Amino acid sequence: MKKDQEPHEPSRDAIRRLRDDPAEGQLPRELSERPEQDLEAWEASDEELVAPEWLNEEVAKLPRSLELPRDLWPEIAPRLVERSGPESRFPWWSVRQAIAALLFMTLGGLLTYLTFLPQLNTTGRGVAEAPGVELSAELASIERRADFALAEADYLRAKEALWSAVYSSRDEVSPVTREVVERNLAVIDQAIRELRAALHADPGNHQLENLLLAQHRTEIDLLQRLAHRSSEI
Amino acid sequence: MTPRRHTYLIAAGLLLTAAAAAAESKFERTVSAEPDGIVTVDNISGSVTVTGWSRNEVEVIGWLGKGVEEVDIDTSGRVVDIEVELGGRSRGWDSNARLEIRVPEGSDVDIEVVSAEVEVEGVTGDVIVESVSGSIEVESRSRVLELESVSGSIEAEGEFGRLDAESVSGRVRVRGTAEEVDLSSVSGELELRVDGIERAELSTTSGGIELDGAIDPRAEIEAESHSGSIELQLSPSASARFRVSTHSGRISNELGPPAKRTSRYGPGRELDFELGGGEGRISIDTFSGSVFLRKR
Repeated sequence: MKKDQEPHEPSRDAIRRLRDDPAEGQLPRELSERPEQDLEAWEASDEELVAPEWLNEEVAKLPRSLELPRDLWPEIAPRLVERSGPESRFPWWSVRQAIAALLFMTLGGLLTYLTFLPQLNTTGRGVAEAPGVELSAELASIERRADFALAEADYLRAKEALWSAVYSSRDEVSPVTREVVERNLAVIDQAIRELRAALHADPGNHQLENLLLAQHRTEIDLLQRLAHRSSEI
Repeated sequence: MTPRRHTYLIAAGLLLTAAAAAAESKFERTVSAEPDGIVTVDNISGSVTVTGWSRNEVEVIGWLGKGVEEVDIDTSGRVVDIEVELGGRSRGWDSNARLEIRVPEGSDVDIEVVSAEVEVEGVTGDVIVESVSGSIEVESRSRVLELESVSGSIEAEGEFGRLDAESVSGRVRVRGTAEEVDLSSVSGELELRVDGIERAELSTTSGGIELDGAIDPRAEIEAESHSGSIELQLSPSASARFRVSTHSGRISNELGPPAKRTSRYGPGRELDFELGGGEGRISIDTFSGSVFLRKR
C-alpha cells in the first residue's frame, strides 16, 4: 500500500502543529513529550512502508533449510512486556493509520478542551476539578491503545515471516499433517475474527485484548512448530 | 459370506502378514551407557518404545521395514544417539521402523518422531518427546517432562516436577502428581487428574479444559480458552482467590457465589471470590466458553 493511496492520513507535521502551537507550554510534560516519541516511532516504521522490501529482506534472512530459531517468541515477548497491549490483524498501514488517527483525535480533543476550558470554568458548567487528572487518564488510555496497535504489528510481522517460511516448505509436510494444521489455523482465525468483532463493539476492553493476544501467540507458536518440523522431514 | 469365501479371505490376510514380516529386517545391538546419561532417538515413522532398566546398557531391538536403510547408534561420552537412517528415495513419512529400546532408568530421554507412536516407561530422568501425528504415552517419575505433538494424543502418568505438553488437535491427558504444569492446545482437549499442583498454565482455542485435583495451598493456576469450556473440580477445603471472567459464556459455581454481569448491556460475566484463606490464585478467562467450578 502506498502512502499516496491514503489521502486522509494526517501528516506528522500537522500533528506536531496541533500539539505545539495552541498549547504553547500549557500541556503537561508527559503529553508534550510522549507524542513526539510516538511520532518518531511512526516515522521509523514509515520507512518500512516506503521500502516494502523490508519484509522480503526479513524473510530472505531465513535459511533455506528452514532451520528457524527454535523459538522466536523470546524476541517478541520483552517488547510486549514493555508495552501493555495486544493485537489485531490489520495490515501494517492500518495499524499506522489507527495510531495516527488516535493521536490526531487525542490532540484535537485536547486542543478543544484547552481552548474552551477557561470559558467552561467561568460559566461553572465545565470540568473545573483537576483537569490534569482527566488529561492523564485520557492520555493513559490513548497510549495504551496505541501500544496495543504497535504490539499487534510485532505479531503480524513475526507471523508474516513465519507464513512465508511455512508456505515455501509446504510440500515437505505430509498432506495429513498439513490438513490438521490448516484446519486448526482456521480455528484460530475464526477466534481472532470473533475477538476483533467484540473489540470493535467494545474498544479498549482489556480482557478481549488479552484473549486476542493469546490467539496471536497460539498461531505464532503453531507456525513455528510447523516450520521447525518441516525442516526436519 | 460363504465358508469358502471366508477361507480365502483368511488365507489372503495371512499371506499379506507373512509378506510384511518378510519385508522387515531385524536389528539388535547393545552398547554400554552411563546410569544417568542421555539417550536420544530419532525415528520418523513406525514406533518407539523406551523402557528403563537397572543395567548400565542401552539395548536396541528394531524391525526395519519399508524405506529404512539402517539404525545408526553413536556413543559419545554420556550420550547415546539412536537414529533410523532412511534410504535415498524414502520421503520419510512412508517409511517404517519399530524400535524397542531399554535404557538405564536414570537416563534422560529425548525422542523425535513424525508419525511414529511413542511409549516411554520406567524412566526417572528427564523425558522430552516431539511428534507430529504419532501418539505419545509416558509413564515415569521425571523431574522434567516435555511432550509435543500436532495431531497425536498425549498421555502422561506418574510423578513430575515440571510438565510441559503442547498439542494442536490431539487430546492431552495427565494423571498423577505434578508441581508445575504448562499445557496448551488449539482444538485438543486438556484433561488433568493431578494432585500437588503449585503452578499451572492451561490454554486452548476451542478445546475444553478439565482440571480435577488437590492443589497446593499457594497454587497459582491460570486457565484460558476462546470457545472451549473450562471445568475445575476442587475440594471445598482448597484455599484460593478466584477471578473468573467470560465475554459471552456462562459461569456455574458450586464453590462460592454466583457470577455477576460485567455490564448492564453486554453479555459478559465475572466472578471474584475467596475460598478458605484465599492463599492461592486461580484465574480463568474465556471468550465464549463456559466455566464450571465444581466440588470435588
